[in-house]
Amino acid sequence: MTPPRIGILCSRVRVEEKLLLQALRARGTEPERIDDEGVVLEIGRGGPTWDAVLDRSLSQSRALAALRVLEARGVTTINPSAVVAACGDKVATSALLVARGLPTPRTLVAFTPEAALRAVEELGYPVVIKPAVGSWGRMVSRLNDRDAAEAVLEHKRALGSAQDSVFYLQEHVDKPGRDIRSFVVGGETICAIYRESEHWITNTARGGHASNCPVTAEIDRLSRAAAAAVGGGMVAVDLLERSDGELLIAEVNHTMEFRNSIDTTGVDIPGRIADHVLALARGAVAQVAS
Amino acid sequence: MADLTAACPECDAQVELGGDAEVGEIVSCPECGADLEIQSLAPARLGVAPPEEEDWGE
Repeated sequence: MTPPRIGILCSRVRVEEKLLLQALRARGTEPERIDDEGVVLEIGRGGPTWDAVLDRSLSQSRALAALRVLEARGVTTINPSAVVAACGDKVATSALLVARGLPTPRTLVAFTPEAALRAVEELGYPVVIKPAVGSWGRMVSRLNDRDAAEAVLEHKRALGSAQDSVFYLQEHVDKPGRDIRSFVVGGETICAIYRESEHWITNTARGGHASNCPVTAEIDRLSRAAAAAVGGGMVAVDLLERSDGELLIAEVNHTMEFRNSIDTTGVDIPGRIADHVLALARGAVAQVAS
Repeated sequence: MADLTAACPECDAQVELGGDAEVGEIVSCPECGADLEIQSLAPARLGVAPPEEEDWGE
């Protein structure tokens, strides 16, 4: 059997991409790197073809566009553009989660600084304000009082882009100094980590420390449901714990980083991803297993 | 490929690339600290890594 032709769309080869390339090679296929800095894709015509393309692009807009062009050619994409669109915009993610009755922090959306201030006062301090599009905890702010709210909203008005006129305001969950990140591959929750930090922002990109988190039945159920809600078989789900133990889904990530989670959990995450990509490329499994 | 080295485009120091180096990988110059991207392996060539953009993330 000839091995499937796999492309990896990426901006940089970081530890994650290196491990994925190695895992795919170990499974008998030589993946082709598609550099999103240099690639030119014609819409609707030939060009190089792959059975499947794994998206590892750092740029959400490049990924979305490239995946759409590839899908129009009939290439299997992981994750598909619809998942990137659903995960990349926090308003879209929240709407999809809530539509399935899944628990999320209370979230309000407003479109002007004045309306946003009203929304903040309605939620009650502290409130978390996040850019609708963004990652790695960037520009996520906690508004502890009205002074802070007015300052941040004024700065967004003066310095922000059109994108910043969507104000995504969220109840601050008084989590126990940590949150949970679970990994779903092929519709299965393969492992989870706690991300602990002295700072209220616990992203490992921001210095949060990772430790193993046993996958409970509830973590498994919510993780798989969150993945299904965004239409993806391969995502990382961020969960917050309320002080009474209730779990809330905060975010779903479509090109997860996992370098801190392999030794921590003992699970070969790149190997599991490679297996999933190859199974999809061979048409052996469906994109969404739920 | 254990001894693969290439010149840093910023400060011209010789940067050692690991034996498992990949095209597209980001390395730091030990002399000047610049983020560099491996542009090719044969011959080994380094360029300045593209800067992080606003919509980058996971």
